[in-house]
Amino acid sequence: MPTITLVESVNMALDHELQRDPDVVLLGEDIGKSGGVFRATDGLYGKYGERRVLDTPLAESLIVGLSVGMASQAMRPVAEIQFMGFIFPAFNQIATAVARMRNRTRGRITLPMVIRMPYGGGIHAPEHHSESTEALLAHLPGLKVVIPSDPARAYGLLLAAIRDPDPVIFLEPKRVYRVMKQDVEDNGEAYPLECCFVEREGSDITLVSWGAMMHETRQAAALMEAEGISCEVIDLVTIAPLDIRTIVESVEKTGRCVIIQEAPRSGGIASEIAAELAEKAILSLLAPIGRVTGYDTVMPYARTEHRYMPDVERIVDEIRKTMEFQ
Amino acid sequence: MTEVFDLPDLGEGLPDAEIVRWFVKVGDVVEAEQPIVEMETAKAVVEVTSPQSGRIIKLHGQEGDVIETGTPLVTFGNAEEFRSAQESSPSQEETGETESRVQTDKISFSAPVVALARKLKVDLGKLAEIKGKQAITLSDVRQAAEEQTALLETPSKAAPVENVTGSNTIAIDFGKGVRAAPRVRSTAKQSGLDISVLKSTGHQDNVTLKDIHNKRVHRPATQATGPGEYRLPQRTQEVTGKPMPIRGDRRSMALNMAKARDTTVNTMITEKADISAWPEKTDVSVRLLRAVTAACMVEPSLNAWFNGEKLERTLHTVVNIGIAVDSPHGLSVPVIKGAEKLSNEELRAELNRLREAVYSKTIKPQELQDATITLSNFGMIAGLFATPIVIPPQVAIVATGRIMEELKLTDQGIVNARYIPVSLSFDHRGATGGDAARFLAAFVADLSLPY
Repeated sequence: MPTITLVESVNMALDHELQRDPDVVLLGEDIGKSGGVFRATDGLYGKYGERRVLDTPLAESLIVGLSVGMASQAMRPVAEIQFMGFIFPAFNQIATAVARMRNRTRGRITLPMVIRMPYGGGIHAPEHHSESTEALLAHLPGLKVVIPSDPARAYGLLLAAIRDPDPVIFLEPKRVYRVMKQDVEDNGEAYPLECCFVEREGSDITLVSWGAMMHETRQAAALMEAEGISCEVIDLVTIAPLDIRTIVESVEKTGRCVIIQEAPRSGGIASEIAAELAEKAILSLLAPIGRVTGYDTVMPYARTEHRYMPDVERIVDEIRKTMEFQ
Repeated sequence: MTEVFDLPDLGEGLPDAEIVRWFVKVGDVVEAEQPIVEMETAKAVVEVTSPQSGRIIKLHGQEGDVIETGTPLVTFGNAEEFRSAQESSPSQEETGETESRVQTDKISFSAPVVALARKLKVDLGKLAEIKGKQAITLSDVRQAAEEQTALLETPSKAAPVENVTGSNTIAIDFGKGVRAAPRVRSTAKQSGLDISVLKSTGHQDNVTLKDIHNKRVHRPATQATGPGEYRLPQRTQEVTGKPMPIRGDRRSMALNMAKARDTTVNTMITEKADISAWPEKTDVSVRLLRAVTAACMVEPSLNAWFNGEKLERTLHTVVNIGIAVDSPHGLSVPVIKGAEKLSNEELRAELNRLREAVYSKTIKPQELQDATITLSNFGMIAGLFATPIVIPPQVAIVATGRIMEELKLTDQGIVNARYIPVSLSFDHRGATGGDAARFLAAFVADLSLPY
């Protein structure tokens, strides 16, 4: 069982699917000969050739548009957008074709395609390279939005995304591409989509997060445990559609909830979860639902981005505030 | 003096880099700008040069190790430090391995397996039993769902909320596991009621404002099923019909009361305090505490301890008011110390704190000692006048009844007046009837003030 990083597990999953299913095709900028801007497709061009791993021109609308065409003809394209901030030229294709082809054709044509892209800050990058705009995509009915938080999940979820009959947006937390390693077996076992993972059971408070922020959330939970506060930690995994039932059941048990997201505060997934909890778990809440988020401003550049993104200290503060509420 | 050189960012925001080859070894003396290591980033292989000249006393990794940007790469130092570093450093204590494994769930079900089982309504406990193993894989769950084996019997209803005893020390969980809207919780708290002992009549088995109201006026919720039909209220606690030993607060009450009867000369005097001038939402408890304090200032003979054996009395400089608190465990009397120095807000805060401590049984012994006078507001439940018992060595206890309304004849005609009935007991060995009457007059006068 190899001990690998998250980006390596993405590579392993792509490799597995290229091997298993001849309909799977990768396409994107510099993903072929060069192996991808983050090396996610490293070695695959050499192994599968230019008909399976396509280097495209620098045109995101083309990458997604081409994928729509291939997927509608029963191929399984896996497109890579170099950074999430580059998705906007392709937003037209995503909103008007990808998300609604099944509905438009009354189920006659589905699009089994995946759009992979690294998202999030923390890597000292220039403008457009650090945003977390998952909510923009989650808001479009017809898309599944999936974010893994560790190597094993990246592997299992990417397999599931590629095998799904409908379009999946697969957001990769690039900040933790290489910060942790896990033993990941290349066993072809897909993880379930559309359900969140309760990865740590606890009785005092429920922490909900996803993607790179799980890293800080886990650390905060461990710190609180040492103080005698027992945290239940939920990895959201599938951002849309939301598995709110698992979260509600957890909050019914703990009575308290803090949601951690890297994205700006307003109109995000954290707000959506909080609203659902207010509707469905109000009778069990012992304290207001807490949110630890980025700010309602453009993601700052390298020098101040660490002040923008939630850190362990901010999460711990919010947990304490929620626990002390009387 | 040692200096640590941290791995700089080798590209546009690369989080780490792998050591390909060291050009130097521990003990080497290098010049500034001399290449010391070859590192491979996610994008390229880069030579890293020394930022200074000096002797290298530590390499923070071996070839093949991944170093995070901003963490130590090499340490520079002088010859002496080199030697001591050589002696003390155990070889490769840190493996450099980052957080490696996911939190494993109890037994062997991983989080994705649990999630998939929930989704497909598969009972993992049953499946493990059938399979005769504890490590269940995703395929096992998928197979079980397909073959319709080991399915959950009831379409997963929310797990019954256990009475979780949180191990934390920060929060006192008033009513954890009880279903109630936030407003109901806050009302219960303001009324000093433990929401978890209330009967819940809401549609979702939740406690409602009505439930609190019913408890507050001490009228257990009974529902007549039709006009003219009467049903006895249900018992509010379990009874056995057999003698049971009493413990804790109830036991100490029994002993103290008997001792009080045997030693004091309990004498009572009553009065009504007109509180018609009070503005809305006046905090009754705080006003009562303030009035006790004021009366102690006017008549210190009742803020006193009396020793019948030595025949001496202590007139206290401080006013420590014992508050009778009725809790499910019995009667206990926490003490507000130095009431004469506290503002209204401070009195309220201290009262809340002590009351919660009694409810949660976290009250400390010293918080139950040194009362110089006692206040009991039994009117929160019901009753007008009472015969309170003075607990020696204290000399007095003030007890107040339920707020009552009466018509009052005034110069302006008949008005609706509001009163608090007051019962004052004192130990006639330690105070005269005059002392007690003066105290009572001051108490009632203070209570009648609008503010």
